[in-house]
Amino acid sequence: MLNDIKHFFTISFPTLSILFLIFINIFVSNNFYDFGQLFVFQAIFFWILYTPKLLPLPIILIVGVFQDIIYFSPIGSTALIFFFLVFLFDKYNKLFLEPSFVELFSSFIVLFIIGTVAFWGLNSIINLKVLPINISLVYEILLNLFFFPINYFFLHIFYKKLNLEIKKYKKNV
Amino acid sequence: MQIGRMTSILSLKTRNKKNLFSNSSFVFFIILSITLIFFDVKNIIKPSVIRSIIVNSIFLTKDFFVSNIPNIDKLKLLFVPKDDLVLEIKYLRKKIEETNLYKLKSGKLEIENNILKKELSLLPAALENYILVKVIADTQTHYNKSVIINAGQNMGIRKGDAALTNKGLIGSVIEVYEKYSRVLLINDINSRIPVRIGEKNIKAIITGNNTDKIDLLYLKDNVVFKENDLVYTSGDGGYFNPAIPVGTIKKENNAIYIDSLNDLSQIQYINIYVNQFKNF
Repeated sequence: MLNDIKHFFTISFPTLSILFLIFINIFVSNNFYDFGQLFVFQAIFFWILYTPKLLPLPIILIVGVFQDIIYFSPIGSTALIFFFLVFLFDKYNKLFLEPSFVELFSSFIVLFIIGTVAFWGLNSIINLKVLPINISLVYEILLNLFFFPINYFFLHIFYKKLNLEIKKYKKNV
Repeated sequence: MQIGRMTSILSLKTRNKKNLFSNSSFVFFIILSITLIFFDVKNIIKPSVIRSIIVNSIFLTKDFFVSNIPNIDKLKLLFVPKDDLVLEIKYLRKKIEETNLYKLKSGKLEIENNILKKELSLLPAALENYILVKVIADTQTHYNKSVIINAGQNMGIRKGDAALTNKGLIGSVIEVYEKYSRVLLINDINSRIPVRIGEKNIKAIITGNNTDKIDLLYLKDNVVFKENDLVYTSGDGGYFNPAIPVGTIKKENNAIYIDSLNDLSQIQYINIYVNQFKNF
């Protein structure tokens, strides 16, 4: 019984970590910094890279819809951007094998900027108006890029501690 | 040789990596997301029930965790010197006496005021019920300007109620949940508020553009405004009570915009005007 709970917790850890980041973004960080709605892409990027089997597309849809409900965005808009970014990542992922952190960080920078621009474009289309781009959007990108290594560090600790790599291996076998 | 080696490495990498997800699943989920956006924007589905459940569960979870964190300040309160307590009791007694005196004075003034009103044959003033609420989640992003407050149906809040501070209007309630509500700020792109401007009482509608500068819509041609003219609600449409201050007119490079009286990014407490005017 206890092992089952532990196993369930372990395999759902990527989803739980994303939900935790959503909570942090609403209740803690928003009082100091505005990370924006794409903040959780940091965790999605990490888990898609290391354990894609534990973060299937329906979970990404639910996370996106969850965020849209909290931030009062049109339902499905955040999920659409996440799918677009995961799609790009999936295609780009073929080009490298066991990349270093610098390579990963560079890929994250590119994907995050594409995601921010795509999100701005999508919101402009939904509102039928070109939304203004101001300095806060640049700050938002820079903050996310600055905090990515920190998030990556902590997520990597959990990834190693929970032996998610082995879980993935067992599942594939 | 170098180029040949690079090509072989790249081909090895490409050969070893598989797609994480199939293209058909991507297409399915992207179409599903677009369908959801379309349904939501066109109001084909009414997601308020789902929103209500999710928002309530989020805050219940938050309250659960917050209430289980040990409060060190409360522990400190257990160790108060006796002298401090005696002093506090004296201070509180004095305050009670003062409050009773103020009550007596205000009661006297109220009676006097009513007598004078009767003498002048004035209509009784509309009931003005305000509820002071706290912003519990600032959900403002670059694309949406809304906040969540800690009062909902349980406090009699209704959709359309005005949200204001002592300085002026900040927005209106757009969604009411069981214990929480969502306030759409006046600088949101979807906000539309009928107003009047300046001493000439010029009619207009204001709309946000997700920045600090609020736009004016539907103005007649050749209308001239003075800098710092006050903008206040007109009450047209029956949602807001008239004469609630909103902002002041500002000019910048021949463009006119409204500067809100409140700093909309730093809101902590709000008065919700439980609107009597709607039933007028």
